[in-house]
Amino acid sequence: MSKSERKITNSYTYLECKSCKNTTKRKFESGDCVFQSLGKCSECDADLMVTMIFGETIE
Amino acid sequence: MDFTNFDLGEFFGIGDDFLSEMMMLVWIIPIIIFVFYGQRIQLIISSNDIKKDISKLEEFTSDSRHKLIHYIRNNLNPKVDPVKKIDSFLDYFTVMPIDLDPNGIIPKINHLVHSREDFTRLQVKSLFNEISDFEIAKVHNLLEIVTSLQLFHKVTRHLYLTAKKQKNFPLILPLQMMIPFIMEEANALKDAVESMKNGQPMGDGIGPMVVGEMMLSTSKQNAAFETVWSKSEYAGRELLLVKAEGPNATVGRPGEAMENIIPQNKPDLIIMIDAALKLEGEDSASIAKGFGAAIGGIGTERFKIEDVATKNNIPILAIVIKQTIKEAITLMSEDIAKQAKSVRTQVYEMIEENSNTGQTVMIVGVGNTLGILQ
Repeated sequence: MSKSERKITNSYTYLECKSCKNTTKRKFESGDCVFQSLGKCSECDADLMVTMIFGETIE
Repeated sequence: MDFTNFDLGEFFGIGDDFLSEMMMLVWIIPIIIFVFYGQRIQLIISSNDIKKDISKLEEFTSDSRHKLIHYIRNNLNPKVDPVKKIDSFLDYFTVMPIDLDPNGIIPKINHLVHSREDFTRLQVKSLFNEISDFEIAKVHNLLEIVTSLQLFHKVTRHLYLTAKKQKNFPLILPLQMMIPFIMEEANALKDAVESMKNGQPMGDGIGPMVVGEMMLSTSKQNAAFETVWSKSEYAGRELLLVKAEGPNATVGRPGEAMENIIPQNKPDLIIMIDAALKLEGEDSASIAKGFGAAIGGIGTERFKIEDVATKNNIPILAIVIKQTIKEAITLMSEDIAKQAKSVRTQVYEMIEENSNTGQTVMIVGVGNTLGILQ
């Protein structure tokens, strides 16, 4: 198996609170979209918004 | 070891005994073989490497086709078995317009490309009783990936077999030079299938991601097919924001959109944000600024943008985010995603530096907006 075939990419969703700017990073879930409102902030109860969806490659 | 008695003649086998004559033959025979059969030997060595790559291309095509069929069967509930229709799609070809007289060729190419897209979309739709635009766009993109991989495989195999059939070494040289680039693109396409199926943003989506955030809380209107626009304000300037309609897997039709918006709104400046292929040695996710319409593709959209900008005498500035072909079409990397904020800051700086208060600036986010809202 070549080096490139041994790479595993994990995808993450990065959430940010619109009010207190608190950030959370979790595993990507089907249906997640950038700039989508997803739940409430655990700190201030304001809306959480997806600001990034990205992949991290592990060799 | 004593080197003082070293006999050069003996070493090269040019002595007068039988062994020396045999040694001479050992030197001469390979030279004769290489003079007469050198090209053929090179052909065998080169063709073995190319053969391995052709097998890989065949495997990529077959794997991505299986993944597409599996995705349709298990997630989209088709009304008929999709295999036959998918296979018939893969063999569709496009005859480009004749360019002996290039005058007026762009509308012809545009018509051809749009007809092909519309046809494919209709055919995809016909596989299901009910399907969302989001899924149609995804299946459409996945079909394009499999078709491209199949085309790579067929063309490479054709060139290889022709060179082998003709026993013509020079014929295989262009293929030998091109195959690393073909494989790089094929590898990227193969890896793009997974993120496309999951509806995740790709590196090419950085332009729509930058403009998408600027469009939040604005009233969006349809600008052209799968393209939206809205108005906003920044530092006393009116902003006209344009991007493909997310979260669908589409690049929209920004050229057509700009043709529709510009005559009524008369912007004083256009800023385009797009992903660009990085040169070897350049850093991924680095940002570069420049002039001109930053948009890829077959060229018809760029033609429209340049045309409408020239007619209305509007300067076009560009910001590009450098990346490899693989980064551009697979799941967005963290480095690229994190650049969105910095690009947005640079866009605002560009607006302040290149326009005055009371003026109108058009900002266009170019790229595939899969998984990115606005």
